[in-house]
Amino acid sequence: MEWFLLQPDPQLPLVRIYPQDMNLISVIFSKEKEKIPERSAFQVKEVPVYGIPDILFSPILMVSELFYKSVQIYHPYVKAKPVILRHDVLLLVYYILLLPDIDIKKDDFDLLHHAYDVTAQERMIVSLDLAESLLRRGAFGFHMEEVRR
Amino acid sequence: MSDRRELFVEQIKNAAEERITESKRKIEADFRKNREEINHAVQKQTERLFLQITDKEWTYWEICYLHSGLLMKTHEYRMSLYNSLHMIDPEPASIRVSFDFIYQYFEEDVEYLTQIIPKKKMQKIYSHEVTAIREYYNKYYIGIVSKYIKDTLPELLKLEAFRSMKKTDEFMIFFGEYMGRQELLWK
Repeated sequence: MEWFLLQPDPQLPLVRIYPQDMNLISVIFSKEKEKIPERSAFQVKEVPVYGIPDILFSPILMVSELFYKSVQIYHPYVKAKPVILRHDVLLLVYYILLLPDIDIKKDDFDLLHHAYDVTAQERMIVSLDLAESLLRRGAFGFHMEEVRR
Repeated sequence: MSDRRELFVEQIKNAAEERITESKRKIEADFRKNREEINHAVQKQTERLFLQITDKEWTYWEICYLHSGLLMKTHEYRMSLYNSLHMIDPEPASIRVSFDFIYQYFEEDVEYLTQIIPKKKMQKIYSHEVTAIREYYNKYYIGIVSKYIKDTLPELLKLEAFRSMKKTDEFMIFFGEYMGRQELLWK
């Protein structure tokens, strides 16, 4: 099985978002995703002309519904925290995925999962099958680098 | 797909039709000139697949294009062998193959197509919008690869590595999208 590291697309300007509840900042910085309350609201500073990417890497990794549903094809019971993105009249639901962690330099990938969080980084590793599902559905906002073949 | 992506694709459709006609002509000319060398290289790549796992009985051989190959500009396809479980075979044999003689004009074609889009004031085309153009235009190239595979398949089936490979009576060959829509080439 082939694996890909998803990183921010360097050609897309950063979409700035910040939590409306300032108490969340410390939780986000400590990367304790489990402690983020469901339906927490995030303010989007500016919506790009092309829309909001399907994956946001900062301040915490979160994905669109399209992305989340693609992960669910392979992992129907994947845990995720829905959060709200707001900008003027726009309101979107994004998901903070609670994926198993992996250290790409040390750990072995297994066939039980198709997506992993990268330890200590706001990055994700996906299998070829999941990568193809995402791209077929037009998901965007990430640059792909093959990390294991 | 967002409206902007659809709009950009709409704007290049006519030019894509013209461009591919020209590229196809060049690819065919190159192929006629180097037919033997190209076929030999493809046969060598394919043999690697047949010899990867020799103690297993196969039911499916797939030749698939990859969206990831297009995004990363490798233009690689994936050839896989599966047992009767097909795509859920936990240990398929697989290789990546390149059809460089076909894709040699792809990047310059896309460059040309993105440049002909009328530039409105301050309009910038972002990377994922270019990807939408690449995906659209790649359909023509997939068609060329498909035709080449169909033409060269009788030669691939004569390879000793294929003939000696263990196959079930239901052995089938497919061409198409990885984990997606495919066409039956041989049964």
